[in-house]
Parts: sequence; C-alpha cells; structure tokens
Amino acid sequence: MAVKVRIPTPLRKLTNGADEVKADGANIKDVLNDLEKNFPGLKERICEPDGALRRFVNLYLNDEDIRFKDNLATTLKENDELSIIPAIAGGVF
Amino acid sequence: MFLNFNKNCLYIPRQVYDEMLAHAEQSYPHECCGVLVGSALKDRRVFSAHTVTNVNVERAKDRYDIDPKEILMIDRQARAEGLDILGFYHSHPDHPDRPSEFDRAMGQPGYSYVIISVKSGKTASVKCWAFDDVNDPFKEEKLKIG
Repeated sequence: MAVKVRIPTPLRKLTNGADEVKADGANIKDVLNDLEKNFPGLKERICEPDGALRRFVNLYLNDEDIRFKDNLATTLKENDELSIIPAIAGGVF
Repeated sequence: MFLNFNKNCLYIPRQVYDEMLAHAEQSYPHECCGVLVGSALKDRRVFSAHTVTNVNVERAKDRYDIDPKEILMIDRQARAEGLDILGFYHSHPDHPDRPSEFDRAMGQPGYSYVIISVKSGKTASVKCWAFDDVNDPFKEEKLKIG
C-alpha cells in the first residue's frame, strides 16, 4: 500500500525538507521500515531501539491515534495518511 | 515545501501578539499554551495563534501539554491554507521568560517557542527561543512585533 506520511518540522532535516513523503507497507511497521530505507535516521526518531513507538511521539492514521488501534501492526489502505506528531509539552519546572 | 531553518527572527503581527498575551494573563495562575501558524518560506512570519487546552490539568500551574489531536487538526487546516506550524507559545506564571530544563527536555528542533512571563496576572516580559539540532541548547530568537 502506498500511503502519505506527514513529516513534522523537527524531522524535515531527515527528509531533505519535505513536509510530506510517500511510503509503502501493509502496516505501519512496514511503512516505518520503508521510510528508513529512503530517509536514514528517521525511524530511530520515531521508534525505540526495540521497535516500539517512542513515548513522546504520536502517530495518527488519518484521524486516529494508532495507540487506540493496533499500534504499529495497524493495517493500511491505499492513500491513507499517516501523521507524525511529536509531543509538545514543557513548563516552569 | 522547504523550511527556512535559519532562525534569526520571528515576526508576529501586533494583534496576534496581543491575543497571546491576553490568553497568558487570563490563564494565570495556570500556564497557557498555543500553536503558532504562519509561513517560513521567506521570513518566519506568524499569521495566527491558536489557543489550545493545557491537558496537564494536575500540574497546570507549572506545566503544559498540548493534545496531539489538536495539533493534527491545526496542522491540517494550516496545510490547506499553504501554511505551516512554526512553533508554540506558553506562559511561565511568576517565573522568568527563560526555558526551563523541562522545556528543553521536551523541546523539538526547528520550532520557535515563545515564552510569556506573567507576574501577578500581568505580562512581565516575552522572549522567543529555538534550537536547530537535537543536542543544541536553546538560543534566543529575535521577536519582531507589528
């Protein structure tokens, strides 16, 4: 399946500035592996060394957080849109 | 779309800036937060500031946390208008406008972070901060209002 992947600003240095790229895969894990082939270093910003999704990274498949679906095993349809959303937080302490 | 990674200056229209300060003062003694949308194709220019909910309810006095679904929706709208998320703003109630260690720990490269210091309910000072690479410290980014 070819899907669109929305790249947030913090990761665009790894995609040569592109804010959206295409990737192939039957599920999200496959798509992340495909992204890594074309944009080395991208996967480690999204996944822990054991392959699990990093705590401070959110992946939305269309409008849904993949943690509320089948996480990285969530299957994909042609033209789905996967958005990478880094956690945005902070504060005084 | 290619972004301007040279972060020398962030331009914010006066009306948008005033809305951000009003949001910070209304939220006092809690932290407020918002999303800055604009264009980075030439200069880094903010066109609008979207107020969002601080979902860190338990520690709203000294922490903020933005619902990623809100960021997704704002990003989608921005993209439809040919714009982009340039950064975020938040307030530091009764604390300086410098980023805290936690701000840096949670910070993301490439975004502008505007911090509004609010003392006793009134804006005391405002500064903008950014860093380019994951291991860099925050550096001040000039703010131009108007």
